[in-house]
Amino acid sequence: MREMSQRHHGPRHLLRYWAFATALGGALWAQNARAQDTASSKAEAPVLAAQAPSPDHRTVEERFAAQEERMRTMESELRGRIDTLEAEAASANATQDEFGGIGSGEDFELQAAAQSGKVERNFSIYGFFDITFFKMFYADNSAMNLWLNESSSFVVNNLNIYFQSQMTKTLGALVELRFSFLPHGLERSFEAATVAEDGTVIDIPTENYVRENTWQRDSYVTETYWAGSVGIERVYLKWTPREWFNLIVGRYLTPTGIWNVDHASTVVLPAHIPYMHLREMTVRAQTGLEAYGTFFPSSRWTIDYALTLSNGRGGGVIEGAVIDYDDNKAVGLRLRLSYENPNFSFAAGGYGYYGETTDQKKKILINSAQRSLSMKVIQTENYFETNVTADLQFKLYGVTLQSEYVWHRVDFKLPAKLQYREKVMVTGDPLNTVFGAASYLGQGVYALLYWELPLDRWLGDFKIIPFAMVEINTYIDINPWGNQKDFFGGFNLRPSPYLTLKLEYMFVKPEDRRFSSEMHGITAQAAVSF
Amino acid sequence: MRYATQILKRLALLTLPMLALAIPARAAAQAEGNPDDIMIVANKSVPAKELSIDDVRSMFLKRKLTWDGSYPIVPIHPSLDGALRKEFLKRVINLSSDDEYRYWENQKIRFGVSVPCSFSNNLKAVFMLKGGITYIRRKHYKEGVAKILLTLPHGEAPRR
Repeated sequence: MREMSQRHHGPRHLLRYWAFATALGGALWAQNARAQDTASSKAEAPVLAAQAPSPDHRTVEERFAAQEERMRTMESELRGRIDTLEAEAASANATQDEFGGIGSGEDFELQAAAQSGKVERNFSIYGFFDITFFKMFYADNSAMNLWLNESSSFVVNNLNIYFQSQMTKTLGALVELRFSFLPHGLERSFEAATVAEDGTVIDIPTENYVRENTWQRDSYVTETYWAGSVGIERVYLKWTPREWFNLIVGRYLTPTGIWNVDHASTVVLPAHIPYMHLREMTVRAQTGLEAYGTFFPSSRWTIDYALTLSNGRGGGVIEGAVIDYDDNKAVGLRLRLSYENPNFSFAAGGYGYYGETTDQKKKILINSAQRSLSMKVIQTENYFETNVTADLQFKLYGVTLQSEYVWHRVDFKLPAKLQYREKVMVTGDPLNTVFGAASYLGQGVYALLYWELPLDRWLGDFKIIPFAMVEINTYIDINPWGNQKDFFGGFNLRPSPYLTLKLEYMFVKPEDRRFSSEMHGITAQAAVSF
Repeated sequence: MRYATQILKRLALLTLPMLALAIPARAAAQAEGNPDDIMIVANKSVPAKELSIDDVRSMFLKRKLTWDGSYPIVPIHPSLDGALRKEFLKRVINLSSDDEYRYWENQKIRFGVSVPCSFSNNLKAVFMLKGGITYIRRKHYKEGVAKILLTLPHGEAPRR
C-alpha cells in the first residue's frame, strides 16, 4: 500500500498529471482555434445557408411573415456585403492612384528613375578648401629654409573642386581639380656661395635667387591680379557593372594605403601630411586603368582588390601623367581584408607596384647637304621602381590606431636628374648637372592614434578628437640628409560635418644636423567641405 | 510531501490549460505588431527573402551594391520623417545624423560616391524602383506593396 501510495504520488505520476494537463490544454486550444475558424467561416458563409427542414404547423400568414422577415434580414446582410466590397474597391483604387499614378514632381522623378534604372543625381559639384596659420621655429641658418619660411603666415593651401556625374546606372565620371596660387611665389633657385675653411665666402656668379611672379595687369581697366594654376588630381570614367568588378579609365589616386585616398584636409586629422606621402615614396596618382572590386565572404567580412596598369610615376620632372616615355607599363596589385561590427573594426591591406620611369630629350639633326631633318631621342633618366606598402587600421569604441609602411626601392639604369633642392642637399653643389646616384632603398612608417571623445551626452554632435602621430622616415638609405623622426600631436574640433578645426604641434628631428636642424611648429587650420 | 504534491498537481491542472489558451492570443499579437515597429521593405522583385541588420547597414552605406551580384541595390531614405531616419541610423547604421553627414562628405571626397536618395513617399519609391529598399513604420505599411525583409520591434535593441 505504501508502495502504491509512493507510486501514486511519485515523480512518474506528476509527469502523468503534467501530460494530462498539457493534453487538456492542447484540446482546449484546438477547440478555441476551431471555434475561431468556425466563427470566421460562418461570417464568410453564404447568406442563403440552408436550414434543416422541419414540420411546419404555422398558418399561411405566419409563414408569409416569417419569409418576409427572412428576406429583410438577407437584404440587410447583402447590403452590408456590398458596402464592404465597395470600400475594398475604393481602397484598391486609392492604392493604385497613390502608387501607380503621377501626382507630384517627385512622381515624375520616380517614374524617370524607374525607366532609366538610376536614382543618383545626374551631376553634382562639391569640394573642400582649407585656411591654415602656421609658425615654424628652427635655426636661422638651417637648410629648412630651402623649403619653408620661418615667419608666421596664413596660407590657402587646398582648394579642390569635384565634378561628379552618374550618366547611366553603371557609368559615372569624376573630375577633381586643385586650384592654387602657385606658381606665384615659388622659389625656383637661390643665390649660392662657397664657404672656405677660413670662413671666406665666394659667390657663385651663375646662381641667382629666382622667385616666380605671375603678376598681371588687365589692359582694359588696368586692374592687377596674380595668375594661379589648376592641377588635375583625378579625371576618370568609372564603369560599375558588378560589385566584384569595376573599371576606371583615366587618372586616379593610387589605391595604396589610407592617407593617399583620404587626402582631403576635411578627412584626415593632422594638418601635416606624413613625409612618406609628402615625398611621394609611393606613386600618388597614375594615368591608365584600374580594375577593382569587393567580395563579401560574410556580412561582416570584406575583401577588396585593385589591379592597376598605368604610365607609372607622374609629377615632379617626369611627365608620367602626360605621356609615358617607355613601353614598359607600370603594374600594381592592392589587397585588403576588413572586418566590422558596431564596436570594433579591423582592416589590413597592402599594395605592390613595379614600374619603369623614363625621361628624355629630343635633338633636331639638320643635314644641310641633303636639306633634310631627322630627330634623335636621347634618354636622360631611366630607373625601375618597386614599392611595397602595408596599412593597418583598428577601431575599438571610438579609439583608432592607423598605420602605414612603405618599402621603396629605386634601381637606376641611367643617372638621376635632380631638382634644384635635391642637388643642393644630395650633392652639396647647386651646379651639379648629373647625379650619378647608386640605386637606393627608402622606407617610411607612421602610426596615428586618435580618440573620438564620448561626449555626445554633453556636446551632442560636436566632436572633439585628440590625436598623436609618430613617423620615422629614411628617404634615401645611402644619403642621410632626408632621414628624420617626426612627432605630431593635437586635436580636431568638429562643430559641424562641414567644418573641421585643427590645432597641432609638430617636432621634426633630423638624423644628420649638417643638412638640417630640429624644427618645432604650431599649426592651426580650418578645413571646410561644401 | 503528499500535500505538496497534490497542490502542485492542482496548480499544473489549472495553469497549463490557461497557458495553452494564452498562446494563440500572444501569437496573434505578434503577427499584428506594434504600429511603431520599423520594417525594412524592398521592391517585390528583389531575390532576398530576409536580411540581417549587417546586410541592411552595408546596403545603406553603399558598401554592398548589388542584389546577389545581379541588379543594383537602391537604398532610399524617407525625406520627411526625420525621427524615423534618426532612429534607423541609430539602430541599424550605428551613426548619429551628424556622423552620417560626415560619412557621406568623406565618401564623396574619397570615391565620388554620393548619399542615397530620399523620397517623401519612400514606400511608393520602393514599389516603383527595381532593387529599391527602404524602411517604414508598420502603421504606414500597405499590404502587398513591397516585400518585408526585416522587422525591428519598437523599443527593442537591435540583435546583430
